[in-house]
Amino acid sequence: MTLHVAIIGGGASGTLAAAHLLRRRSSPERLRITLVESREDVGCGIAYSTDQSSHLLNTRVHNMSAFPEEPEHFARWLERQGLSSGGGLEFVPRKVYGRYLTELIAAEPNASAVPRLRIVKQECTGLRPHEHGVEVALSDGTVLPSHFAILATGYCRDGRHEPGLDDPWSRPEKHDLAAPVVLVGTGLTMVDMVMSLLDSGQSGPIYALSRRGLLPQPHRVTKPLKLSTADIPIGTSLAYMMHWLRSTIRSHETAGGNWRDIIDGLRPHTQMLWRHLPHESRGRFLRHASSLWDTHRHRMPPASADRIADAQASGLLRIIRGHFQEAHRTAHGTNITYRPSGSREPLVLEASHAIDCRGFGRLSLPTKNRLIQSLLDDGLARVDTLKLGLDFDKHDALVDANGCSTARVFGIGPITRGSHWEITAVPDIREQAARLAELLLGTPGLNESAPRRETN
Amino acid sequence: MLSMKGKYGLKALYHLAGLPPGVMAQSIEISEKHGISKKFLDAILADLRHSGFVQTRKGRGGGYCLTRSPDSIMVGHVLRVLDGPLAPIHCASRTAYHRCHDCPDENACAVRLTMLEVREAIAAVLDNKSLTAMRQMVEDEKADLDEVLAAS
Ligand SMILES: Cc1cc2nc3c(=O)[nH]c(=O)nc-3n(C[C@H](O)[C@H](O)[C@H](O)COP(=O)(O)OP(=O)(O)OC[C@H]3O[C@@H](n4cnc5c(N)ncnc54)[C@H](O)[C@@H]3O)c2cc1C
Repeated sequence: MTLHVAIIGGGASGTLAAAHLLRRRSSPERLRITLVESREDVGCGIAYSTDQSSHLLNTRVHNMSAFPEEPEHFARWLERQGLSSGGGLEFVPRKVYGRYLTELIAAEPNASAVPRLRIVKQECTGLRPHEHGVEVALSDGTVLPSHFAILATGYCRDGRHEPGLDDPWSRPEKHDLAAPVVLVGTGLTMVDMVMSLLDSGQSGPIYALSRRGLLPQPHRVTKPLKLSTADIPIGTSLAYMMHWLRSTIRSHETAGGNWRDIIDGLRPHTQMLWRHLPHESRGRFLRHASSLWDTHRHRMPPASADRIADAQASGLLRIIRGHFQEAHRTAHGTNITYRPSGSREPLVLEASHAIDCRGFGRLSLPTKNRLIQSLLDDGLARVDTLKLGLDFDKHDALVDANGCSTARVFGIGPITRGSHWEITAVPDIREQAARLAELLLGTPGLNESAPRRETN
Repeated sequence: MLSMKGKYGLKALYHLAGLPPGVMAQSIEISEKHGISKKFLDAILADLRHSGFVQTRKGRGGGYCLTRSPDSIMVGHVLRVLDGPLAPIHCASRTAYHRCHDCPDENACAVRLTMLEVREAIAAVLDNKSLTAMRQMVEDEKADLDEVLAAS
């Protein structure tokens, strides 16, 4: 019997899911994957479709292999492309990684008569799970019968954003380079935008605004402490956990180590920590600790850090601590109203334009992503308690409105953020892809029936 | 090894896990039932409160209860708070690490390497055992015993 798997979304997550399925199946003729993606470029998604060379990966080459069991995979691919390899410690442009991902699923070495992977450039509009499989509805009205569907739809960005602010991922319009620009948010997206502005010759001031003005920490070569789950206070409240983290870092630094060794040592355990973090601690983490965590956990490459530091030193880049209130387009540009931290009086910044660099927040409902909205409307899915994405169980199976796991629909990547929190970087997504491939390809009881035929 | 603190802490949580939802237990009640000195128990309960496993309410009807459902509280998680990292020997922990004073090379120490494995096995058992499962074990034992008694 042939196993049909439909993957919805061809960004990094969907591509990694496909690559892991293709790699595991021993008898090639018995697997069919359909990758459904509405955008033109498949494999890149929002992170790797940038065409700017100064948009670097924030993860070293040796952590970016698509396959955790073969850590050299990406480095070897780079060498084959004639792109020098700095021993795996370097940070390469994200667009290069996009090419790597695209090639992962493009070339099948033993291309048999029927390719095992098919790409369908359409929007998926709905799923209908039934006892033996799931029907995947596409925008042109066709229905794909399959055994399993994997939701790899990303952060559910649906084109809406704060009025007055520009979307960082859409192509910037030409602007007066001498006029000020405001970036709302001071995380990695802000770093990207500063790189773009510097590349384009911006000479007017760049204001970057966030509540605490925390910038991502720069990377250094680290020796991650090999923490075991046995060392970490799992299941404790956020306050206890943070206290433990601080004192562990303190004693490690007293012994001559670096805080990064601890943060990186925690990395393999973050999903488990999140799973056992009491619910109200999760909410508290998002409100009070996530920006501090993110700036230490998701760091910037040294080259970017140097440019940021230079821009700050020259006064071109100015970090402002304050609460963003509103952005308002005027005849000449955009006015940003914010309240400086520790003050009651709002101030206004006049800029040519302002870019939303606050990253990916919670799901805004109803969402314009028709698939997600229809799953919610039909009771096939529910939003996770923190509204970060949809609710999935510990095997990444979709949980329906009644709290029951759906045996036919799974999730991968940021859409599963509610269950894992740290599931946005490739080193985490690839592990999830490996688990999913193992689960789906090892599923017993698949032999009893073929998927339903098309219904229209 | 399980310390007295760990042992009594688990007994107290076992007790709290058996309360109907919304009901609280006073520490004197737990201390009498399980033969723990009240002073020691109060210190243990304070640790469990700081780490977010139990909460208290003062006044009439007040006392201690779990902060969440007993099936989401794992024995291993509680023991890390009361007894420190799960490690059968000090050099088998990264965070509560102490080198043995007679150790020339810990990376080549057969005892340590063995104990590192033991540590993972301990975690695998204790981190998968919830307070609910603990109560269930006791129920099952009782049922078995009843069966044996009924048959004899
Ligand atoms: C700017 C940026 C930089 C990053 N840099 C790094 C890095 O250096 N290292 C690292 O490890 N991680 C990095 N990440 C994180 C990580 O790689 C991303 O989180 C990753 O892009 C997630 O991919 P995704 O496929 O889940 O989502 P997306 O990239 O959003 O892709 C989802 C895809 O699904 C499609 N889709 C959605 N709904 C439907 C539908 N109904 N029908 C058809 N198609 C649909 C969308 O068109 C989209 O192409 C970065 C992320 C960002 C945003």
